[in-house]
Amino acid sequence: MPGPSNILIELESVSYAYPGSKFAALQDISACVGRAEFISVIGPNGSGKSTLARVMAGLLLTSGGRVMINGLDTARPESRQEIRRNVGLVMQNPDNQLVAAVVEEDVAFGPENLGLPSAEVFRRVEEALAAVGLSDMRSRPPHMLSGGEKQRLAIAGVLALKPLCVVLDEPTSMLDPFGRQEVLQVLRSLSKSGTAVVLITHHMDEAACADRVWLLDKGCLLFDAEPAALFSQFELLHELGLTSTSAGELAYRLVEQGFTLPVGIVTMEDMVNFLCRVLK
Amino acid sequence: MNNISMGQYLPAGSPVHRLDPRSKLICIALLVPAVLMTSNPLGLTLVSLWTLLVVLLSGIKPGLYWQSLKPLWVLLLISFVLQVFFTPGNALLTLGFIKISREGLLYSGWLLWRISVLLLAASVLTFTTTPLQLTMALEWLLSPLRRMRVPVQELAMMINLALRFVPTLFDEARMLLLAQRSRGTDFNSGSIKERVSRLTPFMVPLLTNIFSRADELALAMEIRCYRVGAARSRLHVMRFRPADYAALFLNTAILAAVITAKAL
Amino acid sequence: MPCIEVEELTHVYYPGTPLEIVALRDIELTVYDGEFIALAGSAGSGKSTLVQHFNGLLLPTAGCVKVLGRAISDKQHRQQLWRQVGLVFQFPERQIFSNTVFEDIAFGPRNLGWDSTTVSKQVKDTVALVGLPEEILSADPRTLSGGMLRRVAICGVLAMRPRILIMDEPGAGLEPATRQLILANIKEIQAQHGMTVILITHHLEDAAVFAERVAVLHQGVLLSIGPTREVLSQTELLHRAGLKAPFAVELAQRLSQEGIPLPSLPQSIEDVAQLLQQLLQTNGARPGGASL
Repeated sequence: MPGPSNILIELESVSYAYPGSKFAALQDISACVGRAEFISVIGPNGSGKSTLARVMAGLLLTSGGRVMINGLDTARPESRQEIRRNVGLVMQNPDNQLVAAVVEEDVAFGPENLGLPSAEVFRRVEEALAAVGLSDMRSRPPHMLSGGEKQRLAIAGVLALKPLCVVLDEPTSMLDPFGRQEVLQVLRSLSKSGTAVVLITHHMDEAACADRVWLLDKGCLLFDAEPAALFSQFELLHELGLTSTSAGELAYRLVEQGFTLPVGIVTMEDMVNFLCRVLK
Repeated sequence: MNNISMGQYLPAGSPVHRLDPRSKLICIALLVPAVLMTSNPLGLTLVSLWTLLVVLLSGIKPGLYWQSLKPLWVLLLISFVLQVFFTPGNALLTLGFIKISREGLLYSGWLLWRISVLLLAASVLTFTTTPLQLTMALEWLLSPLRRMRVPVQELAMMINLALRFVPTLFDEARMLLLAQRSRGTDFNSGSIKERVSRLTPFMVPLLTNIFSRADELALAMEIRCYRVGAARSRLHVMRFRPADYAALFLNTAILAAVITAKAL
Repeated sequence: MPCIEVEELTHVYYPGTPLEIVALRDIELTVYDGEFIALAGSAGSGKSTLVQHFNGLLLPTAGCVKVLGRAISDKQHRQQLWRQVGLVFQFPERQIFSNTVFEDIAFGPRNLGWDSTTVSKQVKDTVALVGLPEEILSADPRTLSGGMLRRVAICGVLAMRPRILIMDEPGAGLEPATRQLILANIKEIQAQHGMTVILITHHLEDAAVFAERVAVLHQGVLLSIGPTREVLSQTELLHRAGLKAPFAVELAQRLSQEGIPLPSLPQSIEDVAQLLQQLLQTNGARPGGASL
């Protein structure tokens, strides 16, 4: 949990209902994202994850409660442009968020919209492409890139605005394992270099890389904890149609067989360490 | 889908590729009147040789020019034949009601020649210039219209987005076509009415998907601070280089020569 | 009995241009009647191009593809293949066009020329087969959740009772429980009805649980084909193909590096759990006792 001075995004009992819908897509969510913190969000389909992403990026205005981003209330129209620059959103399908027919032009889109001078646009494009490892592909057309490359390009497009936080809505669900790894590496290095990351995902092994995990169900925040704590909640996860991480699932099977395992086995390394201790 | 179509950009890094798109566009604008105005064979031969030289300089195999223009050649040939038959004049050859006249042959021969040169020149432009460069050049050429409140910048953005999404939508359409064909839709037989009704399983999802893509795209643009009407800067500033001046000079000279020859 | 025979298949897109792409190169592959085979490979490995030959949507640039005994170069055979080879594309819910679920599922069966009683019976049976409630048939597809919609779209192909079913990443973008459910369902139908299933996937955990054989494609070349356990143990090769070995395989290898070899190579988490149980017990760590 970040201290008060380190809070970047603060959700204060946020509720949201889509216009014309009786059901609340989000109900009374209170949570916060610290600077440079890496948070992942899991939950069954339809649990409100995408809505939460849009609310956190200031694209949807809450029906109840308040969202503060770097001290700015998203409800205030005059801070909208500032909020856009502070929080970037990357969506599931990279094909729908790339705007230009050439890689570098796509990254330049954001800075160009800010009206920055050409030299500054160029510098930001360089930096953003380097951050996602696409510098060699700058003059390619995006539709010739692989899925992972496209998604990294989409991230670069957001990074060029120098945001304080990047929110990603299932960015890896259309990617192969290699592409997923590429994207995840980029996200890790982002949070190391000071940008907060909020990653929505269906892949529990990915979610476990974060500092904290949020579990959503039916628009409510059920759990906000470190991966080790959340991924030991086997019954809760299974009830929701989710799973623990692969190592967590194995630990669960062993517990079911009657063995006693320490709580908090989440990664392959955790499992290997445990087995080494017991079997050697 | 296994053929290169007209309008496709082919990367090659030739001197023609490196020209400023604005000068390429202006050169075409100079070449068109030159081709249309020459009335003597020598003039048109010169212009044609010039175009062929540019074709060779473009670094793209001549065969590809031939391939991409093939469908158009067929059309041209048909119109050539019709022209030959229906232009009145001194008969060279009479076969029943068909009369081939000297005038008809000459007139349509000229037309065919001219249009071929123009098509070739247009292909050089599209083969060697990315759509993005073309829109930037157009935006620049049309920028005086901004004073007359024509939203040139927004129009250029629209063209860019359209260009960016052509391959994506093409893939989408292809996927839908294949998917519905594997469920037994036959798009190639039956009466026109039947065929139109068979398009429903193709068109309905295509439109739905295009709209949802457009929605997401609008969102993505908003996220990246795009605002209609706001002043934007550009990553690349176009710059004329010596080669551009040379190209512009040569094309102007050709047009001037044609006009002078005509006036004399 | 083989139902698909692929011999020296090569497929080239845009031949003779700067955009030329060799999508498949000299593929040799046989699929047997009634088996569940996984076609694994990263994006751009040629998986989709390969299967589009199987129901006659693509023709080989070179080589020969025989489906159900006859070459697909035979135009008559090719044009009728859709009747026996069902192809579920990636994100099949993007192809739904009707106002009710029934109409959409009935689309394929009607094209087969079945009478309306047969069509309606098959549609109902199919929905029951995948465990969806019958009431869903009158629902508007737009009101369904993503997972439901995906299953409806798959029913649209299943209802045609294909002899060979090809599925391209049927679980992509769905929560774990739904993706498991879909595959378990298909596995059941395969076992009961003797249907041949070809599963395109880059998720080897799924292949490990459901497939009898696995073929690995990489950049248009068939790197490996064989029984699931054999192929999944070749971690080097999988890595080269841009794939990730299942957790169970990786764990077994890590453990053997640490000097704890497992008696046999596990494929799935269930396998590992069983092997570890034996190991923990023989080491004197009785259930309830092994802890730290």
